[in-house]
Amino acid sequence: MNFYEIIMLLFGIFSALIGCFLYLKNYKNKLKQQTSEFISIATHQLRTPLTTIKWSIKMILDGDVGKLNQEQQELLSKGYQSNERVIKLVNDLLDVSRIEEKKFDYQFDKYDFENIIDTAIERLQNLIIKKHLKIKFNKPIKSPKIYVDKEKILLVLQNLLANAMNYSTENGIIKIDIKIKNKFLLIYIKDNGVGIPKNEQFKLFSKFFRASNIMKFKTQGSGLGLFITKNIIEKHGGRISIKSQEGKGTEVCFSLPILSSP
Amino acid sequence: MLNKQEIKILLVEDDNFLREICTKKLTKQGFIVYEAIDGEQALKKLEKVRPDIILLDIILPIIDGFEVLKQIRSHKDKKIQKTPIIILSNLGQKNDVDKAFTLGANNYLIKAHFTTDDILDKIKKELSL
Repeated sequence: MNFYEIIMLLFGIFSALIGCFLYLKNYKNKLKQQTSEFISIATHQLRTPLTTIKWSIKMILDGDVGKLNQEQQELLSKGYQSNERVIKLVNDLLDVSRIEEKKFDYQFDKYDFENIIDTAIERLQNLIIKKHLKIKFNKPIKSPKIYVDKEKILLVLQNLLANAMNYSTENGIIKIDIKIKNKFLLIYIKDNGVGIPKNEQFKLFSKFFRASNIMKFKTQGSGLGLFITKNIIEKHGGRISIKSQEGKGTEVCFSLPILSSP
Repeated sequence: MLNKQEIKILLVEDDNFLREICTKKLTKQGFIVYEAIDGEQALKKLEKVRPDIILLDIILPIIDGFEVLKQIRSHKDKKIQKTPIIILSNLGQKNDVDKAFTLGANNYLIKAHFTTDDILDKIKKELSL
């Protein structure tokens, strides 16, 4: 085989490899797109029966079709809460699919950040009461208004606060602090709950991650919350970090830029 | 101010059970509820019933909710054209919500995120009850 033939052979192999690579890349993108479409359709189809369960149980709980005794009330309330968890899981799956499709839409506007935190706490009141938790929210003297997608940031705060609450023991204390540093708003959420094992912390923001100690402690949860949370914060131009010590608690810090326009 | 007993609601929903629950809740509250199971039926009943408010699903057989909304907002009868419309759908992406508002919806509720009590509140708010 002469030099020219060797070059031609190498060129042929190289072209075939490029072809294979492009084919696989295209196949992977198609597969990804099909998976996302499937999730979008499946979540919509799942929401309908979940709505019928939610609406009918709520009507019974409200006494619209007759009075319930305490045992019936308690059992149905648990059924209602379980259904709410499935609705949350479906929403999380849809959010993840949208993030991966790069179709997670944002609508930025100017908001008072303290009010958003108050709303998030308000939405978690049932959990706070149920676990006798204490929330210490140290508001700064004057926090600036910032440009955010309010519903997405509410989702972030609800995810982080719900984690802090779910993985706290009864009578736990959750501290929320806001600081301003270098044109960034820093939000700290600290709990004295079960913490995350050190050797698992690197996987925290991966999809479906659930810490081993949490699995023993509490089995509910999709493991999608932190993946979605990180994505939303980074889309706002911020960062998130987590410090945790098993048995002592967890501190989450995330930043959001203070901008005069989005 | 409208009297609850005289208020006519047109509920456009293709899922039998959801329609049954919603009708039950609204009827118990004293509203008069008319049902439509698809877009075509909705447009026919609309002219016959002349409702005070419409609860409209998006994914419907024959004619979808967006088209129903479009036809109502361009109706030759001014009263029908201005009927308040609350979208009740399990589609909740920004483009769906934006499209509904652009076509003239007054409110948009994702069914799985609300209860029949919430729907009742929105109806009362829309009709200033």
